[in-house]
Amino acid sequence: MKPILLLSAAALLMTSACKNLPPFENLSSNFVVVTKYDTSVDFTTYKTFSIRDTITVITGDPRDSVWYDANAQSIIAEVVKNMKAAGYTEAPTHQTADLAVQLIGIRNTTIYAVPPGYWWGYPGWAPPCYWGYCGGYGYWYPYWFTYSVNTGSIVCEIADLKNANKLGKINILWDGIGSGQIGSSTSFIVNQCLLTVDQAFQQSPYLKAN
Amino acid sequence: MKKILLIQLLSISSLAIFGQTRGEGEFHGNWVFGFPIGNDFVTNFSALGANFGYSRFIKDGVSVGVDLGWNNYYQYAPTKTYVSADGATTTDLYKYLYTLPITAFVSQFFHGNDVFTPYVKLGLGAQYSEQNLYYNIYETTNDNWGFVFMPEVGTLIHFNKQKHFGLNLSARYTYGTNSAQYLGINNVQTVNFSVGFMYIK
Repeated sequence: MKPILLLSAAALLMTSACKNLPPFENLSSNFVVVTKYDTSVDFTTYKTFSIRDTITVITGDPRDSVWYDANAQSIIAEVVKNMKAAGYTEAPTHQTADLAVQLIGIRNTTIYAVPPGYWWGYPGWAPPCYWGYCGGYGYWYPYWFTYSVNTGSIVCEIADLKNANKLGKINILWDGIGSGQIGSSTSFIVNQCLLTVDQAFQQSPYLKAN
Repeated sequence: MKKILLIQLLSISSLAIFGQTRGEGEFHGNWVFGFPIGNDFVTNFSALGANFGYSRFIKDGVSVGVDLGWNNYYQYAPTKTYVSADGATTTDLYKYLYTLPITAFVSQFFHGNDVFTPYVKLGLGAQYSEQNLYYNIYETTNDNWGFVFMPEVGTLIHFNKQKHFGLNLSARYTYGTNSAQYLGINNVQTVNFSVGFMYIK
């Protein structure tokens, strides 16, 4: 009976103590880019677009509302460039556009509470193997602690203005979303937004006027 | 006359091996390495594993017991666009597979010689497994339990005639019913090799 009890105890320990997670420091810091679209829509039936000249900002700060400086304009310009490359024409006013394009920036601070015991860190944490302790070593925390990670997303949406009156609603036809850890460098954030816009259009070959 | 002498010698030798193999029970512990097969989720070789167990001899050369093991496998996938029915995702990622089989097993030890005692082993039991994806700072995790089937062949290499202690070398195949449909995993199969020890009490 004793061996079985020992094995059971060991099994519980192993589910946490004998895991060797991958070396997360090798992962790219580029945003993860996800695109979704309404598969019932033929994007070639739309010819013109209008884009909002500011970026909506969503953070935990109620004073934040829009992002409109030169950095924001560079991101908006990148979207315009990609829309034109896809064959769409920028309409002089949004009242005459077939498609509406808008950008949203989201910033989150996620706080993690780590309980006492084995903990395997978060992607980006140096695994025990990094320090030369492979083969089952883990970090052991004797106390509770908390830490925070700044993450962000840039969302580019395309909505259907052409059929809004007929449908009685403004259908969202396409979303391009880039997400990841953002740190505190503005240039890094802007660069990731630009890369996201380009990648989102690149992986959406159906998004074309002709 | 020579034949009779040879048979007598073999009989004495066999009895000695049985007597020494039978004992009360055996403990074993191994370093386990290998690679998953059956799908392309993770195919990389990994040496991040081990197992240990205990069994009691129920008759000459036959023991039954329990075994516990674990293995970590992971593989980096460079940045790629994954297309789905209604969109696409672009990222690089790590694919991670963790297995923890807990089995009841029966072992049959064969007559070898003073140095080698070959054996076969069949384990049946449950397997805990994780199939995770890590990308940027995000993770998509999946864990499950499944039934596991684990045949194994190996040999003990003895360093003295008492045969209480032996170096263990073995190869085994593991089939677990753990699945993660959205990752294209219908079962978890691995091929493993072990290097370790066995102590026969």
